[in-house]
Amino acid sequence: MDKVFIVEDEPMLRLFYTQILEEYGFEVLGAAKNGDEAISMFEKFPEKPLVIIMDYRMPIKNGIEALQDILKIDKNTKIIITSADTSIKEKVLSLGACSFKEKPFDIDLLVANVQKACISSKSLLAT
Amino acid sequence: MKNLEDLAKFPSENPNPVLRATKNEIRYINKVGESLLSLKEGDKIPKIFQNDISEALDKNILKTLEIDIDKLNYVFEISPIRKEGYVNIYGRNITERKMAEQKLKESEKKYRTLIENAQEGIWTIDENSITSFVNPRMAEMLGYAQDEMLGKHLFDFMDENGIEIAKRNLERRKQGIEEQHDFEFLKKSGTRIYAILETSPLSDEEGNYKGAVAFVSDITMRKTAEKTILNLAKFPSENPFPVLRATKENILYTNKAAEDLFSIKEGSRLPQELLEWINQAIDLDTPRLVEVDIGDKTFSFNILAIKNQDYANIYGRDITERKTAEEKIRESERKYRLLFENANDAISILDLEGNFFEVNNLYCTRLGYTREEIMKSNVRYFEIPEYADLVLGRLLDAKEKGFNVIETAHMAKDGRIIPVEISCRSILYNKKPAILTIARDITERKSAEIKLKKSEATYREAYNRAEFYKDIFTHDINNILQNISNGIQLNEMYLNKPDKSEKVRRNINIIKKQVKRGGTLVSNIRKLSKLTEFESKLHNTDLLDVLNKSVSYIENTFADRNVKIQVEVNENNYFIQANELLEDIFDNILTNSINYNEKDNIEISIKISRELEDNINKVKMQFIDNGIGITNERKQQIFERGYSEITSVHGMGLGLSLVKKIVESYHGEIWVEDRVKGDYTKGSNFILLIPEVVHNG
Repeated sequence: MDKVFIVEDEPMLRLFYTQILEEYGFEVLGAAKNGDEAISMFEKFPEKPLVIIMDYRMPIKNGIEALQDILKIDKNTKIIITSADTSIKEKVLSLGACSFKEKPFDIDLLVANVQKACISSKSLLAT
Repeated sequence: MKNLEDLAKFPSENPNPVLRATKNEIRYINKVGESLLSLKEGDKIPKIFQNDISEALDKNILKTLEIDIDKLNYVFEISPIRKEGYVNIYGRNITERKMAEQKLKESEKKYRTLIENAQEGIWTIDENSITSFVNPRMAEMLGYAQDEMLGKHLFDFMDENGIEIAKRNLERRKQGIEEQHDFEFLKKSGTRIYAILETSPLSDEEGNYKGAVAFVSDITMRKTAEKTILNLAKFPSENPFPVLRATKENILYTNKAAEDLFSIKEGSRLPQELLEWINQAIDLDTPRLVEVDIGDKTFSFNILAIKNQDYANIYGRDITERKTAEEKIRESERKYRLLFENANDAISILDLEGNFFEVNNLYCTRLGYTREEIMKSNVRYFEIPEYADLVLGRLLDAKEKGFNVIETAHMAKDGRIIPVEISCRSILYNKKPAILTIARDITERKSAEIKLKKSEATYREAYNRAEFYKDIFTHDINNILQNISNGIQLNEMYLNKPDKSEKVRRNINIIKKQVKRGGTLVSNIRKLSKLTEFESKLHNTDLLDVLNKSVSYIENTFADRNVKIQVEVNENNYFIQANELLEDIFDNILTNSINYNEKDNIEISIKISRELEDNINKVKMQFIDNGIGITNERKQQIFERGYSEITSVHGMGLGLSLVKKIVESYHGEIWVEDRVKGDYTKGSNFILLIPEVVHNG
């Protein structure tokens, strides 16, 4: 199973993302409440997730800061940034996010993006 | 000596006293001598003669002795006859001679004094025209020392033209002619001096010419004045200004300019404008200088009565331009004085050390001091203390740059502070460097500026708040919609899966809560957008009631986490002045405590107590958690973040900075401490202190 990691400060969304991704056959390694916690958890995963679904606006450390830190640890990690704030789209893509999803988004679209990112990640690993 | 011998031959007949005496006694004395000196033969020598008789005999010399007897002067000649051991003494009455000598001495002294102190110069020359005497005044007139002039030829003090005239004059002196005449001398400096001379020849007893004496008066000033008048009077017909000659009744002469000016001609009556003055000048024989306005012009008339004549010469000059210029200056001075004294600004003229040369009325009235009080003070005294030390620097700056403008504040006598804008300009005042200061009262402007700044701050605050609400709303509403969307889609997936019915129900509950949450968000955003409005609408609020609702909400919201919230209260009644946003305060603090807690068992203890501070009863609320804690650096910072930096935490997404604003709107305080003092890692203690109100049911 492809491993996925959720970073979201909204408790209900952490719950839903986990439920949906599991329904679609992904293994959710965990769900962090903020960027700081995400980095901490990411470092501890014995096997790194292929894809991270990460909110932008979070307490302590936001999605952009966490994105940069995680890519420093593993530049091949595929990170999908979610936010209602579209003004950051260009920035997060330039910083290395594989995708930007504007909230609210269709769940099928998210799943499709995660699947696509997993394939991309795996192909990178293969090379 | 021959006379003496003759006299001695017949001493008894001598009308003057005759004596013969040894050093000790009188051997012979004639009748006149007896009577005069009260002596007779055989008498001892009077003391007055003793020394001279002894000396005459001892040294064999003729001695002369003058003695005053009964107001008469006598001279006694003591002639020694050494071989006989006596002297013959011949006396003579010299009273008249002495008196004549005394008179001469006195006379000499008097004339010497007169000559030395004379206002006239006195100059004598010998027969060769060489200067033999000058008095101090004469030397002064020509710019020489007395000694410098002595021995110089008369011609050394005049030009060639003068020499020709002087030669003719000297000829007349030699002919014994005395006369008075004018003469131009050359001073040592080369300039001319006009003099009037009273000259007389000097002759010896035989009548031979031995030189001349002159009494000299300096008439340079008079000559200059005469020249001016002569120049004016010389060609009256050509004079562009009016020239007249008039008696007290009629015009004897008038030039064209006077004819035109007064519409007169020779023989006319006097012009009315000059009538009184001409009469006065002739009657009093005193020159008159008058200014008369004729038409749109002003003339000055110099009216000179001619001595021993019954008329006066009148010289006019058009002084309109001069008068106009003078009037302009006066008007300008009056204008500037009016401006200075009636200006709406306080004006002063200061020296470079801040002492006053001048102040205007407003300066005094604005500050409430008298002019005298201000004039004897330094400008520093009228500045507010914060600016007093800057005064000197500002004056020097103005001096250096020529001009500067500064804002400062004056302090009036009654303590009022008057904001002023002062323009300082470097000037010369009475030839001294000075600074002209014009101080404008900017109280209204300052007040307007403050209002404007306040208004600007209010609008900036409102703008930031609006942006913040928009941001929070966008973020939270999209999360809510995302939740609803996720719930619906998941339930669609579970439609034909009976084993998922539990999840379907849970998702439906979540969706319902999210809808409710959306409604609350909209409501609270609306409330928050009117935070300032709510400030005036505080009402007595049961603190525990609101707190319990908040605790219940948080426990439901964080049902997936193991959260234990314990409320400790001493009493059941705590009322404060608050509004609908009080619950949001508690929600946010509790959410914060949970979100920043990594422990499996989240413990939050809420303690409510009373505290007396500044004689005011306050409710103290402590939210003590076992979370990650807050470093000392961030303890203040977390309440001070700008709107744009506030991150949504829960529900409607209020941050701690907004919590602080709400608390402050209740006249309360909020701060954070370590749960365990000195070790922030053990968790935080959020403390609220809000004034308590007495609630009457």
